[in-house]
Amino acid sequence: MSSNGDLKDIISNVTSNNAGNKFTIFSFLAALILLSYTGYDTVIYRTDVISEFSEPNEYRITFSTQNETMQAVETVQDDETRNVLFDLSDINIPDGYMIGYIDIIITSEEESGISGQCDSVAGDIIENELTAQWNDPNNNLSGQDSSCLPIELDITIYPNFDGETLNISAINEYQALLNWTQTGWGEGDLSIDLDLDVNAPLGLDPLGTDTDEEITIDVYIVMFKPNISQLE
Amino acid sequence: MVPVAAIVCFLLGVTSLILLERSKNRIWMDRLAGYMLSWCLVFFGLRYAAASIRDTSWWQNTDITSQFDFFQYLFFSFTISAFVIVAIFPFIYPYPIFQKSSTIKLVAPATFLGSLAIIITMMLTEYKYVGFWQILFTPAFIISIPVYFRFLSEEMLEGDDTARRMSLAAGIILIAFFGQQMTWWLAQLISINDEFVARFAIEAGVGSHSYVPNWIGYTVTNSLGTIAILSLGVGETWRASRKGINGFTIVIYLILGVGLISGIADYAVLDIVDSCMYTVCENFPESYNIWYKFTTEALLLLFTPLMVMYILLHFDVIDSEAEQNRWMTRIIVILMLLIVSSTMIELLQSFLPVSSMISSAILAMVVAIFIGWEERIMNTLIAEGESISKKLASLDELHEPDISDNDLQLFSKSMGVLTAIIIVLCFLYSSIVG
Repeated sequence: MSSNGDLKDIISNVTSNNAGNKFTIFSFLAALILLSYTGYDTVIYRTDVISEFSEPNEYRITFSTQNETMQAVETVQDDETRNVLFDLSDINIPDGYMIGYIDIIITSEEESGISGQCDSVAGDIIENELTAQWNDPNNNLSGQDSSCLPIELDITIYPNFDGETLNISAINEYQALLNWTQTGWGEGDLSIDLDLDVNAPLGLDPLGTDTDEEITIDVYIVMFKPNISQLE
Repeated sequence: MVPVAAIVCFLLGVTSLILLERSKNRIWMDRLAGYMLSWCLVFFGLRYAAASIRDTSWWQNTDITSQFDFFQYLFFSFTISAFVIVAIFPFIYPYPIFQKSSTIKLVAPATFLGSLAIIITMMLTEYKYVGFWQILFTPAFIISIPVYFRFLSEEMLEGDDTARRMSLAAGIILIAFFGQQMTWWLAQLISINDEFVARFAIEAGVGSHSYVPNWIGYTVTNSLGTIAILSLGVGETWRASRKGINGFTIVIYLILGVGLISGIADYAVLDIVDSCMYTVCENFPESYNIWYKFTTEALLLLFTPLMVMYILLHFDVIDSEAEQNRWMTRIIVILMLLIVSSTMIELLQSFLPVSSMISSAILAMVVAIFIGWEERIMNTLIAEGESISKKLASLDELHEPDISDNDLQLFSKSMGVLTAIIIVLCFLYSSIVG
């Protein structure tokens, strides 16, 4: 025992009990063993795993597309507004595919009347419960024609889908595809309003032969499936 | 809990400093250990205060766009200062390795300069490697484990009952310093903590710098904490088998139990942990978060300051029997216990469907118990006070060097100056960089 404060004596005092020393050595050895294998797992193995995340990887996303069509032919009376519903659950969506956008073409064929002058046809996609991008700037929800040309309407269903190839930075494939694996879009009915205003030369149709119009609505549903490849 | 921890730590630290100033009859070892623990509490209090202010809506509504702001710098700087004290403390208490006056006089400048050097280095490297400095906890393990086992063996094999105060002090210091890591002992033993560490790195946004230094720091503290609680478990089981279970044994078994359940829970959520790496980071279940709030977080934020207070009072570091100290000690003990109790009740109320009327009634009961048992609680803490320094002196293992009061007070003064420098430095640096 000593009270002169020498480091050597102090260490000798701390380690003066043999039974205590055995416990201490056992604890220190256990600590070394634990440090070695947890150190390997954390410092070596996890460093490898995490290195993949240190800089985002570049991925290219391309889209395979398939189309489905639906059609309705309606005979609309003069000054009538007709609502036509297309139930999108009727179409067959292949595995892995989602609805990207919908193109609608409305055609009318002038047959009645003496002059055969084109009638005014208007078509509107009506906002309803259909899950779609109703405020997308690329939408064209209304159209009108009085020259017997088809009316084209468009609505984007899946957010930001335009079919173009994309390059994306992400830490893994899953996160790169995260924006392209959402479900729930394109559920509901597509609702289209048709308006007809019969036109006659100088406003005259004395025989009353031009009172309606046969209007065809073709709905082209563009479906997509994302494909991903890592850029080197 | 963090704001409560800030108040508890700061209040206890400042009060302890005041009480130490009134305890000039204490031997150098007690006084220096008291200063170190008090400043450690003050720094932890300031660290939690900085974290709390950053979380307030007032601060989050300001136009701070940089990654680091004034309070973030303060948080890291005070953490580092506390860690440096923790690194040097085991050389002074409970078994002083530094006993020569020349080395004792170096404690204050070494703490001051060491803290400043690490703070500035970390500041300039944007705290990328701040986790590495957890290795500063290593001396506590290397010194306290031999001290614990030496005196436990003397008590058990040689029948020296007074040796218990030494092993108890070493054990409490190990819990106070490694408490958080001790609750992860099973997860560390089966080596799944690395998956959590990797998840947190990805969640934080993996940078281009090496994570190796930080992960060395985490691995070292987690491993040492694990072995520390298992060693204490073995030691206390040995003691309990001959002398019966006491309060400290129950605490050790509680921590072992918490670590066991936490390890199983950690294993159960590994898919969620790994989701960050293979898919997208999923959130942990609410029950898992609540479990950790009531165990690891509560131990770290609320009970560690109480353990430090226990060391200061129970081992007579502070002269709590002196008449001028007694009333202040009583107030602070009751206040601390009440703050912690009310916080735990509030936490319980946050997820249990308990009406505020019932929780108020429970709190009132706790207050009544504390007031009724105030004398008993104080007697447990103070009257049975067992001075470590007296025990070492009786063994003729404590040198009493020529140390003046000013030499000891230098520690407190240098830490005061360090606090001022940290605040100015953080303010300036955040203004320049931000």
